[in-house]
Amino acid sequence: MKNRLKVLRAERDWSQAELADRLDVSRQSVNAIETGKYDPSLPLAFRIARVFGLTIEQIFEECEA
Amino acid sequence: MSAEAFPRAFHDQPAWRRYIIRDSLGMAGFGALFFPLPLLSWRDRLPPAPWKYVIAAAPALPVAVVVWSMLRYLEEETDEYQRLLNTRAFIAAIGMTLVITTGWGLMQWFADVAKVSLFEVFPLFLACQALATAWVRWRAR
Repeated sequence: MKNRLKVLRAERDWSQAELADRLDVSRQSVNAIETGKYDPSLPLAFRIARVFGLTIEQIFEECEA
Repeated sequence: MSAEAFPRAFHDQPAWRRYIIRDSLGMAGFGALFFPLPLLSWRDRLPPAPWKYVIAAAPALPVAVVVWSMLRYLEEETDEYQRLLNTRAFIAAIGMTLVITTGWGLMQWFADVAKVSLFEVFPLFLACQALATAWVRWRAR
């Protein structure tokens, strides 16, 4: 799954650590999601969407099979 | 400095900290109950049965504490990525322990290698867990 986390974070001038703090996860978790190593669960995806004030679809995009 | 200036790393996660404390208590308990045994046995100070069996088997109880601490960690960890990494490490450690002990057990039967006592499986598991955790963290870096 692709995501726009890095771009959205940069637009708000947030560091990975700041975003991690807002999501109540570790910085490694934010890095893993940003780099596509880990796809978040639905509850975490909702939390990410809420932090950015967007919908899940505006942040995450399913990769073509 | 604000809390934001020092973001939480995996080792600062509250669930991980609690796990480390419980795990360390289990390991310390194992050491405290195990190390007097050879001395008591050597000096012929072990009481008669059934207490002999109770005292000899007592170090197995802290092993249960270590396993319980792993289960509690998996229930308490709120950071799902950290939970995934540590679940991988736990399973890898169990796998390494099973492979080594099964292989060594077969060699004891069929290849005349040195006999190893079953209670040594626990320290082996702890060593495998340390290696597996380092390996999983290295892969996820």
